[in-house]
Amino acid sequence: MTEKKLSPENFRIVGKNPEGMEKITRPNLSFWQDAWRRLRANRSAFIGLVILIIYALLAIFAPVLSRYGFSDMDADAMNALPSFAHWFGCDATGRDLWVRLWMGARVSLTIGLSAATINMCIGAILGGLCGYYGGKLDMIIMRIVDILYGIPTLIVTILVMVVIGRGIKTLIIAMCIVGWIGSCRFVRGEVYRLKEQDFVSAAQVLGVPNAVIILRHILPNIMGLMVTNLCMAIPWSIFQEAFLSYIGLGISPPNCSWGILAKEGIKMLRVAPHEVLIPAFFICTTMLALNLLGDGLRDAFDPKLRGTEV
Amino acid sequence: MAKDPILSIKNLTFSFKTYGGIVHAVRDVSLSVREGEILGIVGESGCGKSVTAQSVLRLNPEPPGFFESGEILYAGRDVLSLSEKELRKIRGREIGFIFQDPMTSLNPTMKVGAQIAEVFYGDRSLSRAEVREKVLDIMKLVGISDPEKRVKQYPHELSGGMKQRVMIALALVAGPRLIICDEPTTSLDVTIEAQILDLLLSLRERFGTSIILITHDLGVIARVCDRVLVMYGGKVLEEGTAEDIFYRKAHPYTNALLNSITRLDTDKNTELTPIEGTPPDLFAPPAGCPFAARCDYCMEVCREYAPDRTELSDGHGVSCWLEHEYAPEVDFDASSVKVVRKSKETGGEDEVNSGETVLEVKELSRYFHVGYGQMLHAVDRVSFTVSKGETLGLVGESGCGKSTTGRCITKLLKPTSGEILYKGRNIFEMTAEGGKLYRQKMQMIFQNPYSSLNPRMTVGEIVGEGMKLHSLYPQEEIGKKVEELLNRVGLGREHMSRFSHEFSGGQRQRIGIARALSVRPEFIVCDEPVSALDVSIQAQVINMLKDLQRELGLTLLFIAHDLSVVRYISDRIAVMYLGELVEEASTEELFKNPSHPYTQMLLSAIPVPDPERAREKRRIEIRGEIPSPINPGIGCRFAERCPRATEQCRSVNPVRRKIGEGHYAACHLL
Amino acid sequence: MLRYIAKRVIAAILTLLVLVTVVFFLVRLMPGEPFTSAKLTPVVAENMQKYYGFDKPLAVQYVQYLKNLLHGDFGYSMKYTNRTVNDIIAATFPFSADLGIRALVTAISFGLVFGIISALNRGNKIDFICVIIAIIGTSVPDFIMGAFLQYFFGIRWGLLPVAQYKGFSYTILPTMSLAFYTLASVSRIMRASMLEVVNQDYIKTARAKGLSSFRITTRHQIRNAIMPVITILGPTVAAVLTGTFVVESIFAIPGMGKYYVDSVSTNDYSMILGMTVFYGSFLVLCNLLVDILYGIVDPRVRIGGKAGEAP
Repeated sequence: MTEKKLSPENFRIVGKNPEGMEKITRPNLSFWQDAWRRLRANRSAFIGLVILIIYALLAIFAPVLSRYGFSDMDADAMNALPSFAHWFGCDATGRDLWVRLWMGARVSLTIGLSAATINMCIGAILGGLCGYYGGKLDMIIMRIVDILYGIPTLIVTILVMVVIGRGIKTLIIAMCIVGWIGSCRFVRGEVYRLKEQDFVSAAQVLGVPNAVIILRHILPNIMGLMVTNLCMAIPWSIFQEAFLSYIGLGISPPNCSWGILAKEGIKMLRVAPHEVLIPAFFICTTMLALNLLGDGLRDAFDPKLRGTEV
Repeated sequence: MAKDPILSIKNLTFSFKTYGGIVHAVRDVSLSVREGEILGIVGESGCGKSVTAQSVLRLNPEPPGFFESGEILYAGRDVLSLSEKELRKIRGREIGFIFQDPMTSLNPTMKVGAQIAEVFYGDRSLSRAEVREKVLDIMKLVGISDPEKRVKQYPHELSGGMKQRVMIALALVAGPRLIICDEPTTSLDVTIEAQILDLLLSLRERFGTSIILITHDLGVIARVCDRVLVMYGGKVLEEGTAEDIFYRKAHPYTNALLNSITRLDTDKNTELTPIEGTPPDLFAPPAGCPFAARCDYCMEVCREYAPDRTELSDGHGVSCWLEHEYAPEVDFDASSVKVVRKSKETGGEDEVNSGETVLEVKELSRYFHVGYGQMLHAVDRVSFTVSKGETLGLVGESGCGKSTTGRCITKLLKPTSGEILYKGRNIFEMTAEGGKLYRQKMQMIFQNPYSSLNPRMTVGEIVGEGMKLHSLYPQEEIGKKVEELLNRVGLGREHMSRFSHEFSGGQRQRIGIARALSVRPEFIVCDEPVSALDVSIQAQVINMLKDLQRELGLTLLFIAHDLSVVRYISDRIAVMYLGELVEEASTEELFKNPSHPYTQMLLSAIPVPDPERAREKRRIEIRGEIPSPINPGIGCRFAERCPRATEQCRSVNPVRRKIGEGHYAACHLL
Repeated sequence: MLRYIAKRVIAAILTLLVLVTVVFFLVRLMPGEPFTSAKLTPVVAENMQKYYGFDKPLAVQYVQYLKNLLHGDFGYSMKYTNRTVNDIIAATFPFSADLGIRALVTAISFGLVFGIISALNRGNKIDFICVIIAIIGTSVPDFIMGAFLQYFFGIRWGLLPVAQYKGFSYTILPTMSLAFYTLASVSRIMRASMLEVVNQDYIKTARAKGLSSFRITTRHQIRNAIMPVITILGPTVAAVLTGTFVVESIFAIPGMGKYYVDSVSTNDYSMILGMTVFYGSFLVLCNLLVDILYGIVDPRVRIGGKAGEAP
């Protein structure tokens, strides 16, 4: 070692320096603040979020601000290519695609969001009750879930649509009849895991009522995962709507949704490819944005990553 | 006879790149292992001992890990310059490795026999039959009964102790010259730990294998190691023979570590001496001695410059400025005056025993269905009483039902049968009001500091929740009361708005204690409150519990597996085995005169942190594994492992009998 | 293991029973009574009557319906006189099965390979490309993928036939459109699972044994990482199967899916119901096979007798 100038003064015993040992230097962030910070730092997830906000705003305002109605036909503009008059061109019957696209977005996004949310809520309530209370209720619901889980949701949705007829409301109902099963299983598993955690036991020992335990101790701890799952479920719902509309069981014309646009567009593939490529672009980017956001949320909420950053 | 070192590490510095910066895990570490020697590396969590050991075989993931400097010589070859292929020839064949957790260290989808045989994978000089022969031999050698059957089993079919034996067999099968054991017994029960340590010693006897044993347990070190390395904050602070370290310790950290452990002969009336504070942050290690901030003898120079190693005698070296010519003389023993605790009550033991009974557990049983008509007898007809102001220790190995008993008392579980009376009233038949009061008077402290605090609540909310719930204080005073409590457990006002993930294990455990105290309880069930903590932190928490008990007149049920800790804190001890209470006596009586063969075995298995006594200590042979508590037989549950079992023991379950003043046991032989 | 299989089989039978019972009651609840309306031709009306037996008591109808299904009789078409659902299935199922199996094999094999390659190259360019492909794959619905492929490869560049199903070159585009989504999700799951397994202690044990990284990857890492992929095989089969509906109609392949969509557009209710029951039963059977396969692959299920799910 290099020569150090040491004098006896350096060797006075000063004792330990416990002050500052209990101090925490990190900024004081709550779980949600921390997650938001991570999400913002995740560029692709943030882009996804921005895309979704733009699309949502366009879906709300674009049809209102346009001079065309979504079902107005213009015989002169059949299969028109994009132009100043018709930004995205027109379809086979001369309807303006720009307006139809955002009208379709309204329907598709509404269905996607509401079906996924309803499913998550039903699943969370049933799964939460099963996971927390266990016992007979749990056994009965889980048997039902086990049995229903074997039938693909799309098959059930198709059956229900055949019987109750087409439309936005019926579509949401049909998608919710068995759609909650996945979230029920997942919430139950999470609640079951959390229930075994000592902090829940500690709350029970303090005499905290069950309802408060669920709301204060368990729910906040699965919220992050629930939001992530919701975000992952929306593309699936949008996809389901598009699929059903595509095979003719979803929304019926002249109403439009992204599924209908794609279906009508594919018919004109040889003549006017823009009629399918434009809706396809928006469907795919929406899905992509939701997937990116979902991935970002998952990483932002991942407890394994927490605490490792300074 | 001086033997050549087969492994030597010189000035090794190993770091990890992470998002938060570079973690300096190992700094300037040198060591050597001679033929047939057992070298112990001891230190608390995060001191760099595992990383050092794994770097020998380059098992640390690289990246993110990387060698900054140093060299590792194995049998004269530089490990750091070997190609991957040459390295593979050393791994497994010449150096075996045993990991801490046998539960996760074996591949769940592969038969154990195949996993052991895999060490020879790619070796064409051995035929299949020869490999099989070797596998069976080694399994027999490490004490796996019925190896022909076991080779075809999967890890999940074996018990923890058996899996660790498989791990040892795996490390040994190729006849290595060196075995590195990374905390090989930490996740095992004491009786199994004793068996595994005996096995390691016998292997050294037979094959002359060198062993590096990494552990945080000084008792394990004292029992098996020839030489010891004390690590802290990524550095070696002291190195010497076991005797050097235990009897001629030269570094203040070694001294503090040895003082902080609870021993079987620690005077119960003195306070333990914890090491205050927490280990250094390895992202930004201190420039000087890593221990400076927590050292009683820290000098100005210690904070600025890292000390060089000083040789005290042959092989005994220490890195401390106290050895410098300018440094003052320090006598550790003179300055570590034990603080004598004021006696609990002036009358002492007698008064405690004459105190009124607050808790009475009668014939408590709790079974669990485990599917397919099988029943797990977690707790079976357990009875005991606890008097006001005393501490009852409940000890036993994993699966003995001690935690289940605690959870029944705190009403977290409903008993299958039996009664629990608190001040004479059955706790499961209370009125709503009585039940609420019981919830206030009976509190619990949990084992795992990481899962016992809600990650979404601030410390203030966690500690204040109970106060609000039971309306103990006016709303506006709650903040003040929470602050008082936090001060009491060594934390402050500035911690109230923090979330639990920002605290260390010891701090979290203190927050858990504050939560339990927040509702002014009379009785606290402590479920292994210190077993997840480092020894130096354990002492803090135990001191705190003992002080609080004296000040507040609390009654404690202290559940633990560590007999030294239980002895230190308890007035009476109850020993459980496989769901049954086998012996109960006052602490002095139980240690002086253990009567049940299981208690004797347990006491004999405790590792003593004192090399001479550890070697002298006569041990009772420990047989077998802890059997499964699923559908137990009709006889005494310990009969299978008991060295003195008779025909009667196997067919009739003994009842609890009085065998002395306040001393009960359930055994036919007494 | 036997216990486990028995449990799964019972669950599958119950699922089937629930499915057919629901269909039975849905038919009786359908608004406008399409099966007895006057618009039907006499022959068809007679067929409907014969199959559903609307005049008999409900219990008799139910038993009759179950019997029909047990005999593998899925009913009649309402639009085409004297065509049974079984005829249609017999004529069209081979096309769908061919396409479905091609897509499944492609999706799973390439999905696994991409997932593995991606995980082994974690953090570098190859991984980045695989992850991008996977994310895009899970964002593009199969009917859009079909349209894209058909437009570019078939119409724009004229490389491959755009319709029909008459030889290998005809199968490429439909298989790709059908497989892409599943391929992407398999690869994502495999990648995540591989990365999880690589941090497990037993991988370290394997390294300490001196095994080559090839052996560690194949014998220890992949073997354990593949478990979660097996659990999603059931939903994967379902996704591919429903995907055939749209892909077949886009590429004009005379398979079951195309007929199914056609029946929807012509309101051939009895055909839809019959084919749905067939699809449902088929998928329940596939799920059962996957569960049993999982039991065989995972020794913890095989020997412990417990499924690898949450308790």
